Amino acid sequence: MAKNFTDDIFFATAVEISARLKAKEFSCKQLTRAFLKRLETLGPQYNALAASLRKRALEKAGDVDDDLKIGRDRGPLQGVPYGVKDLLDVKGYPSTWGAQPYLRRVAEDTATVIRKLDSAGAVCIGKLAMVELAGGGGYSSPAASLQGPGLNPWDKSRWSGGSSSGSAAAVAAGLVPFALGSETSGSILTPSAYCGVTGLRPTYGYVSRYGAMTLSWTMDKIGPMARSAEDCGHILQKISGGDYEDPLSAGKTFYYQPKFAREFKTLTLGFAPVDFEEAAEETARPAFRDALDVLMRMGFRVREVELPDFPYGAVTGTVIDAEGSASFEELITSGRVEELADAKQIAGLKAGLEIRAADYLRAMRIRRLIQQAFRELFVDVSFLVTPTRMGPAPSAFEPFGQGEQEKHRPRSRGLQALIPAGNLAGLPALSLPCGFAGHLPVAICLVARPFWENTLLAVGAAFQRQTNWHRRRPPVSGPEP
Amino acid sequence: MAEKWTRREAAGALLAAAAVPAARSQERTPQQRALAEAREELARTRRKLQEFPLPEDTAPAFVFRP
Repeated sequence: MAKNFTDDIFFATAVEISARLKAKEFSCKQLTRAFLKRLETLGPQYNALAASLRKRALEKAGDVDDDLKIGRDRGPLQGVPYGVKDLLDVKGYPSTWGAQPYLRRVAEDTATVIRKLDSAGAVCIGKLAMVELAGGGGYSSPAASLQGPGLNPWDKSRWSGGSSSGSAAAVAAGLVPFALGSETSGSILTPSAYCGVTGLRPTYGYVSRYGAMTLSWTMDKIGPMARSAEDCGHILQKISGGDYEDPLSAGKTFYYQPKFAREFKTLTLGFAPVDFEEAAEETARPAFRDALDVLMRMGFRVREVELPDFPYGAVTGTVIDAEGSASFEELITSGRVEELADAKQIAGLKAGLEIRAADYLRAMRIRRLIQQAFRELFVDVSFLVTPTRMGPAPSAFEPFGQGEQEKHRPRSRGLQALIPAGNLAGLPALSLPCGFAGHLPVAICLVARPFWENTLLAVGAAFQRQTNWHRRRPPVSGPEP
Repeated sequence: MAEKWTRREAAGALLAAAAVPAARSQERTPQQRALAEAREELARTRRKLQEFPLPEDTAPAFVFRP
């Protein structure tokens, strides 16, 4: 079969690619080879590639071609190549967790999410770079990664975000149609926003973490980073579901039902004007205001809100530091922690072992009140909207906070702590590209009550029908397909 | 012997002793400094948790349910 695709295929959605595959425009093997070539060639230029899975991918692609020949339809991800953050195990392949001490770690089993995508006929082609140990202990600069700082396809002097750095960069640069990332507190949303891709953080417990590195048992979530809200819906449907291998699985399966979304006039959008008028960086404000205007015209009821007053940063920090240091106790006590790239992170992991049980429990007790406060907030509001990050990606080559001017303190807290707050409460969140600050993408974030992904995705898909920010391509030139 | 020290000698000894921790802190390695900073950060975080008015009957978020 002659190859019958152009450069456009690298920036098509998963749904579009699968439809063209089923129309026999090309075979899955041809498609997989083209994406592998692009990932292996361009991935290292963004420090995005941890390992190519070429051999396994071509075998799986052959299986998909066999299925298609006999008309076996496995759904909208069948035959679509994808990548995974290098903390998800693929049996027989390295899983380094982005960290030097685990450079020679080879996975003994395959993560549940990858098994599920195998069953759906999606083809995993690579492991994608990440911040070491997903940032556990707290890191001081983008350089805290085995592959070096994640470079942003929109501007290689800027960071691709963390900790799912390679996942976001690979999707943005057209190296994979979608990727899996993970979030403990911001690690899907932040890189999605900085790289201009659509990222979905599912409700805690919706997606099994079996076969994934543990940073925090009570905070870790796995979710998709893709080209559209619609793709995120299809991916979540395939990877969600109960799993006895993950003791904190919610035991629920997500069914993507865009046709049965609630009427928008029955939904209430909650937002804080201060986020858009003061907290956002000045260069990003026009994009955020325009995005809010688009949402306002969709017919929602609108209500001004602000987050309840809690010490979100202190609670998140204590929970993640205590659980993260416990998870990596053997690494810390053996001394191999010194092999990590980031001195702040090494110290943070060591200090985390000294957190008192009473302090961890106090944080978890406050967390219960935060969950209760969100339940009350969502009585009057269907979903919240705020900028995902208040500005575009920072430098890839400077420590965080370097070169920043003193920030203006907004007059009220608005929803500015929604990333730690939403993660503590286990809420789903969808980051949508919404424009540019200069030449760099920025994004808004929708957050709803647990298991309300269908509402978020319906709003996100409607937003993306009225804008084309998710279709913009960074200035990437790659090998011929 | 201490009893033979003049007042000036005793004051000098006290000053020297006080200077030891400061000198030691200057001699700390970057790793030791980073660990000290991490511990200070933990202490600040702990103070923030302590300052929050937590009702006595609040149970922790175990087992976690969103």
